[in-house]
Amino acid sequence: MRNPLHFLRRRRRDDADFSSEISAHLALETDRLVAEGMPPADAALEAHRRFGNVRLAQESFHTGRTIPWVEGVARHLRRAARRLVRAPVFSATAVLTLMLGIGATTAVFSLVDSVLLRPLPFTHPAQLVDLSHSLAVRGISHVDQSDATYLYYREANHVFSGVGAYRTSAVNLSTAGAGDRARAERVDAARASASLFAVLGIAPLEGRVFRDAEDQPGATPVVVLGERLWRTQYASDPDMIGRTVVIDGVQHEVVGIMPNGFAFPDGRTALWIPIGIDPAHTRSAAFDFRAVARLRPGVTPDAAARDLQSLLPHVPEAFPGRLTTDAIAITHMRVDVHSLRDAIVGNIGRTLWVVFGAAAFLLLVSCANVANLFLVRAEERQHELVVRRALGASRGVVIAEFLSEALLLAVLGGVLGIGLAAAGLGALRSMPSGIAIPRLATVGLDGTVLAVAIGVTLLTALVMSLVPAFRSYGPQVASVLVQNGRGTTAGRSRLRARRVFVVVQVALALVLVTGAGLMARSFRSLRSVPPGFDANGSFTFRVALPDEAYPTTGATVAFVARALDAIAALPVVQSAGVLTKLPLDDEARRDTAVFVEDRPLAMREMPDVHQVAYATPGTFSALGIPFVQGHTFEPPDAARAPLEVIVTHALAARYWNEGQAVGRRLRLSPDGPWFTVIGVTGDVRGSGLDQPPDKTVYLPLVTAPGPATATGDANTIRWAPRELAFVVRSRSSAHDITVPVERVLQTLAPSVPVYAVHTMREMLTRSTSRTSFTLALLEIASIAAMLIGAVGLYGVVSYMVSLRAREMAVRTALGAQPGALRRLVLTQAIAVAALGIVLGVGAALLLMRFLAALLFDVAPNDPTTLLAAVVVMAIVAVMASWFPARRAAATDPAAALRADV
Amino acid sequence: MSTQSRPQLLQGTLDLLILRTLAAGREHGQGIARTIQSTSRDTILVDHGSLYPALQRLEDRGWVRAEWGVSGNNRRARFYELTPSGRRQLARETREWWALADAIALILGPQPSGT
Repeated sequence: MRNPLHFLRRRRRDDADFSSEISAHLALETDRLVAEGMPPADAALEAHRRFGNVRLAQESFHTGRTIPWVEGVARHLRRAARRLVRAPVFSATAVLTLMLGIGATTAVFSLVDSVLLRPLPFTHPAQLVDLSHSLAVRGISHVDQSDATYLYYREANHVFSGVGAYRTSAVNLSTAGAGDRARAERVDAARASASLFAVLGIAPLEGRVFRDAEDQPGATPVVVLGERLWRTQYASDPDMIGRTVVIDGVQHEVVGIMPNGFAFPDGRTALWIPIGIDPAHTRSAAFDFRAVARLRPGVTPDAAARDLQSLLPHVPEAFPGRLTTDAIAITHMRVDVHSLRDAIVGNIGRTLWVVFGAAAFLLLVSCANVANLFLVRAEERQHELVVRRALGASRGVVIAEFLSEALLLAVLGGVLGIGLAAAGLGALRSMPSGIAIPRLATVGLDGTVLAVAIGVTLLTALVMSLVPAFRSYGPQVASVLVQNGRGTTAGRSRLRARRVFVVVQVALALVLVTGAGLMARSFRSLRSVPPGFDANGSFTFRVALPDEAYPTTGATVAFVARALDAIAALPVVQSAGVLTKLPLDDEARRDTAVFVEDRPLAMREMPDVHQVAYATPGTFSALGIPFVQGHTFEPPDAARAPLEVIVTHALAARYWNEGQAVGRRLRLSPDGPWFTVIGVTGDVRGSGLDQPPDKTVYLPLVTAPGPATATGDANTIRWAPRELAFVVRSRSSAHDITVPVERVLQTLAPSVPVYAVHTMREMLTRSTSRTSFTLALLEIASIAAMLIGAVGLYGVVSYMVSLRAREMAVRTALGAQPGALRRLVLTQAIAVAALGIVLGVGAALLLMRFLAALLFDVAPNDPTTLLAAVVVMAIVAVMASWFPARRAAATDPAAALRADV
Repeated sequence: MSTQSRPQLLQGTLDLLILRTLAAGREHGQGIARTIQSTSRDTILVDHGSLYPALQRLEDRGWVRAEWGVSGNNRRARFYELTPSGRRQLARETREWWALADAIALILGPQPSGT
């Protein structure tokens, strides 16, 4: 129906043409009236009168003729920009407020999006599941897969299209140089089954992945490199496929390169080597592997779990070993099938949603504040707006003016906010201690996040402009004019609107302050928990001894003894030792069943599972772990391995009366030799400060035999672990001893990499990083909300004072004391703040429950914290009202009365 | 003038009246207003201020076209005439109007005498 040239034809006519048509009309109408007998002067007037509002007709023509929102928006924005430049304080306050709100929301949303919402970067990620088992055994509730369970599930299941196994490990990768100058670097690696790559559905960038046969013992060693390692270490050499690299002293042929985004099991994994599971020699009770499977279309994780549960009792038939049908029944072993994303993301979700909630609150506070600022402006311009409306400006034009101002401010605030978010995320990614957020490397401002940020910005603009636009533009034009002209009790209704905003701001700010207060108390309680070791002046590093260079236990022990001697000889070193599982380091944790001589087990009763770690005599003094009873080990001697252990106080208390542990015996397998307890250490909270003290068995570095889970069934080997953490204590914490100690090791064993160098203070800080991270963000949000709320309150009280300037002047003229006037204003301001505080307390009591899982040693409705938050808000409110109140009291009556009439 | 007693124009009827007036031949805006007023025996007074935006709307829709010309008394004026699609629109709107008028008549019942 519409003519395609319609647009052009419409453009042909301009405003002048339309105006001349109106002039023609007026002339014709005048002629006609004259012809009817009216005097010419009257006729012209009557023609005008009959036409009505010429400008309104012209405006209606103009907006109807143009594509209204291109020309209109451009014009409105230009004018709005000019108006905003003329009001720099208003504009800057609004932009900064919005920058905080939008920036915080954007940054936190991008975290939530990349960590929690975005699918994993694998083919059809929703089909991927993590397979594990839960147990009903004291001390251990969860195990992954053993080679036997993995092999059996892979062959016998009816629910998966593929199952892959992997385990993380770190390897020594020999780098540039040859012979003596060869140096090794410790890199994160994964041992993977050939099927893993197919299950994840990611093809190699170059070359191929493993073949099934390469998984078998005796196959040629092969390796698949990650793109990053290939790029940084080998300059993206195109001929890399087919070359060999030396890993843990063994030549491996490079068969493929995985693309950059392939971050499995995590982003640090630099290379993949075959997992080496041998179906002929399984260790069915060693749950050292993890498995990931792809569900067949239409199969739910629950259905898969039921299928595997029915298979589990048959594993011992297929792979006889220490995992027996009895053991499965006694431990109530259950198969858990969880989505791979849940398994990777873990429990960080709650933290992120709490932080996201805080950011959303901050955005709300910002919006309320800017809307409030807009109300102030609307009131300042009210006279002008009302006059313009009376002269024929349409309501739409006025709303468009507010909207365009709001849009400009929001866009500016949004751009700055996105910048702030980018900077914040950059800082977060480069935080040295790391806050243990999975998938953090993928966090960034992508399309989704930007779309959300833009949406938030536009919504913000809409909300904050429409409220004042409608408020300030009621139908009673005349009454507003009269009110304002007299300046008596004007603006009451507008004042009410602004009070509502302030109440909301104060309430929201109070909720944030309460949240920050609870986190601060948790953090303080957490930091005041004695860790059980002395973190000051103690530092640690790891070495990994390659099998080739240290083939025997004797060689390992000799190396450790030489290294400890050399380190202890340094003048700044007080003590040094070696440990396999540092406190607060969860990765190296090993658990094993402990059989206590005084506690014979009933038939079919399972022994408790406890941590085991290997230590040297100096370890305890280097870590600052005191002995409550007994003493430390003798120096390790491969020739004479003593059957002695040291236990922590918590473990001793579990089995024996206080002070009676020394001399008792325990063993680590039902038929192994007995170990005698020679010492009891103080409580050590090695699993985290918010966890109960560890129940740990410390074995001497050389002993015979080790626990079954660590050594298999070989009971005769004198075992020494290969991955060791050194602990060194300096004489004064001011001395940095890392450099001399590393130099000593470099001299002793140039091809053994030293890695993971940390002070124990860093380990301690990192273990509380999630609490301190949440605390820091909530603190920032609550301080910003408090500031913004204070600005809002200040604005409202100032406005209240300016509205009543005349009244104040009259009172002063009649002899009112400044103090009385101040009290008058303060009382009103505090009434507004008090309402906000009451609502805020209610909201806080409702909302703080969501914080409960992040709190330590403080209840979500902790009255002290709530009271403190109320006091803080009250002080802020009084301070924000004090200045306008003082101004009110200092009103010069003559000036105020003159100005207002 | 007893403007208060004049019936309000129903929404959208102004377009129909303009189209109907132009069906008799080309005319300028003031002439259209006058014709509507006199044909309705002064019952309908067209608001001149809304007449021109309405004409512009009809022109934009392609139902009328306009060009500047000279009026009977030698004044410059913008003359409007129906386009073929404007004629079809007139027919359609007339049909709709009668259908609506009949329906309203049914609801209101017979006209009381003495009006």
